[in-house]
Amino acid sequence: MSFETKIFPTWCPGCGDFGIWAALKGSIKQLGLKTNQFTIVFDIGCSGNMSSFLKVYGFHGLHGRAIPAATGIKLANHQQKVIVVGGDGGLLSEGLTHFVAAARSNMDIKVIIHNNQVYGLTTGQSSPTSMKGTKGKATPLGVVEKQLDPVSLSIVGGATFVARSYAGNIPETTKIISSAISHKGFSVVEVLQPCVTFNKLNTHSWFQQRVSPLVSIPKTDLEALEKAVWTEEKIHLGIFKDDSSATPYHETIPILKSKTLIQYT
Amino acid sequence: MPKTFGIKIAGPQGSGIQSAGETLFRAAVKAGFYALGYLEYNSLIKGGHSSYLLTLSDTPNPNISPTIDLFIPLTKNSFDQEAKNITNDTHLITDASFKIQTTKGKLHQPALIEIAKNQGNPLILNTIALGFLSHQLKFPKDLLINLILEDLAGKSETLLEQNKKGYEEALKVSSKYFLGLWLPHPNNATDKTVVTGSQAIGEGALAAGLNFYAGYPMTPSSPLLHYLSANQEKNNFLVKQSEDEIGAINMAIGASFAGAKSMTGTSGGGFALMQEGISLAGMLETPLVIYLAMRPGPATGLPTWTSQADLLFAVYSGHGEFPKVVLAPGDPTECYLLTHKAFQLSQNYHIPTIIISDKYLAENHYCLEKFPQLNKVPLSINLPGTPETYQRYNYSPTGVSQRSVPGISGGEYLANSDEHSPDGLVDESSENRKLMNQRRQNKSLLIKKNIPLPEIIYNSDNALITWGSTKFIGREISNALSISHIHFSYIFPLPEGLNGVLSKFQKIFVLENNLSGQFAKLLKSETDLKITKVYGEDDGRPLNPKFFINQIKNEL
Repeated sequence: MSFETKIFPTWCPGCGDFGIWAALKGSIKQLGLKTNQFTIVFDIGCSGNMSSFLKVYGFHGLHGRAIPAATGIKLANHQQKVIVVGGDGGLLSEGLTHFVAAARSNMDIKVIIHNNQVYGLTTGQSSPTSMKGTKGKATPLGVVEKQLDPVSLSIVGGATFVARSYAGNIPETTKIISSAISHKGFSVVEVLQPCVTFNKLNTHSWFQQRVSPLVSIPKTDLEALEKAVWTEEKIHLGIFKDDSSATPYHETIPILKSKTLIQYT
Repeated sequence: MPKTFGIKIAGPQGSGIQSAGETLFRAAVKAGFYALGYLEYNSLIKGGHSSYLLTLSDTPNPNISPTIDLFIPLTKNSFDQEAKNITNDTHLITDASFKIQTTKGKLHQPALIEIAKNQGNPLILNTIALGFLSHQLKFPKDLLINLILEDLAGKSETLLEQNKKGYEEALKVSSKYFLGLWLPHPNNATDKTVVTGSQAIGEGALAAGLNFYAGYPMTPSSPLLHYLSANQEKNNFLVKQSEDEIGAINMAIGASFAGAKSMTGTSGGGFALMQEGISLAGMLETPLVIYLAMRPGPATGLPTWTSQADLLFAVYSGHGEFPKVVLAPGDPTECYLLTHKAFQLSQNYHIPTIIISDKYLAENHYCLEKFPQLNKVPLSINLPGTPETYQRYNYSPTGVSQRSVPGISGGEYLANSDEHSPDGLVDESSENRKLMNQRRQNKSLLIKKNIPLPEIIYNSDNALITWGSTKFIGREISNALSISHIHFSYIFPLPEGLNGVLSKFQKIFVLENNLSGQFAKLLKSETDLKITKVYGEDDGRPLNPKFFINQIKNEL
């Protein structure tokens, strides 16, 4: 199966998005999903530009608003696997309310966060995941705000599958995305994705010195939170939470028990 | 002028004015009166002041009674709040304990609070008031109490008994007072539907086959959210209370993309938050119905009052240029029909359609003929051709192209908010932009051709123009002045041929519940019309026909 379109990716050479693109395609193939079985909702940003590089049912909506659109699609036709592709800016700044709301309701959508810690497509402003002190185009004196950790946020918010991966490791990222897509409920995969043009601090080699796989899935949320935190030396990768016992939102709705909301045939 | 009789009950919020008002309205309709029910309240839950004005009339579709003919305040403060609205002819039913002294009105001082106390429950005072009214309005003896008990179904036996006994006691007390009231003749059929504009819009959506509604609470759009929420299970559709209005419209667009007949609703501030979403629906060409219940702005404004000041905001909503339709029903029947129509237009042309109402239309109680049966609006999904040739945004002379939804094999496409080529993929070239812009523009032109001309009641060569919820107010004014009445429910785009129709009139007046004459501005920008004078008010209250009759009279 080929998902290629007439447009070859327009990302910068060396961009981490190539790795995530490859991993996502790999997962879809690995899971044997047909193109009429899933929809990908793209946020706006470098990550969202992937929308024109995949021949699937795609929805490239508004900056920050991918999650509510995905929620609408899931509730209208819960037989579809619904995947969200977005960045740290869209999903965690403008779209934070939606992120937390969907996590709390355990909406069955799978969110892949391309975390490059910078606004890339708008040429280099700091983002919610930028490290304290980072100088951006709109923060020349350095970021004052504390860095937001998507993994901790997801665990506290109520996501039932939470993982972190590194875009430089395509086989591992593929495996984790596959697990997220297979999970029933709100799933988050944070992919550390170095921006080769605008993030001169969190580079490939910077990450390679720090990333370290989790030995096993933490048994409790508290343990997961402990492991999620970045330290000077170590950034843990792997699955932090995988709770398959939680009921996804649509399964709590009586009228969705026997059939999907819409029947188009 | 139609003859009306106005009955007002008033009390602090939380004292059951709203429920008593609605019950009184239902009883009046069952007793055969033409009626209108109008509730006033403030943005708070307990205390303050609220009132319900029941207008009885000898003709159908009455407006708010210009006079309060019978007034029952539940507290001394309620009396003081309304004192300015009392005339010499107002019958005042004030409790003996209030010790009211007034130079205006005809004072009657039964001991109503004592009845409630004797039943051991001061909170049933609203029921006592209804009991007193029942006798004065010559309702069948048990009509009101049966409706009250229906409302209280499931509550404790003690409470039901207190209401029943208190009501009977109030009937007895009332029979000792002869007020000699003039009442309209109750000659209306008794099988009328009692609805608010909100319920009628909900009914219209159900008739169209609504699948999905997303909304965030905001007065006065919340009654629709509540109505739909209460009806979702038995009608097999889904309501999602969202995290905010931006979430609501994006959920609704997502659901529509996936094939649902989809709707969202809000009021002023929430509609402001939805702007980018409206533009998105225009770009993706996902059918969407958006309900805008207006209230006076700017900002939080007057949350529980009425206004028509968001008209141009709706017409020009969403950034960029794209086809859309704006409808403004004038009464609940139109609410029902035009909501159904909104789904039809959205599905036919793959566009956002906005339905505008306001607090007045959304929350008034109306009595009407039962709504006609309508067929469900078919989903505009065409199964695409062979996979290699399907293009969602293919160029067509009408601008309307084939629509696929997720799940259909071979129909894969990208719904792209970036400017896109016919297959949905990003394309920023000048050639493509021109082509896609033209496609969207072609749809606007096609839609305009299918918009009907406004309703005209011809009385003379001078005319009054109104739009939306002020339909019956406009009708009363034009009848009183023997001028023609032109009412618009289709607001945007304005129909073709409008110039020809309007040019027949000599003097044209426009009346709106806003200050700047927004619809008049729209008419001037889209037609060659010369408007004689624009009238407007935006104090949160419904327009007063009598006031504008006097104003316009001077110009004739």
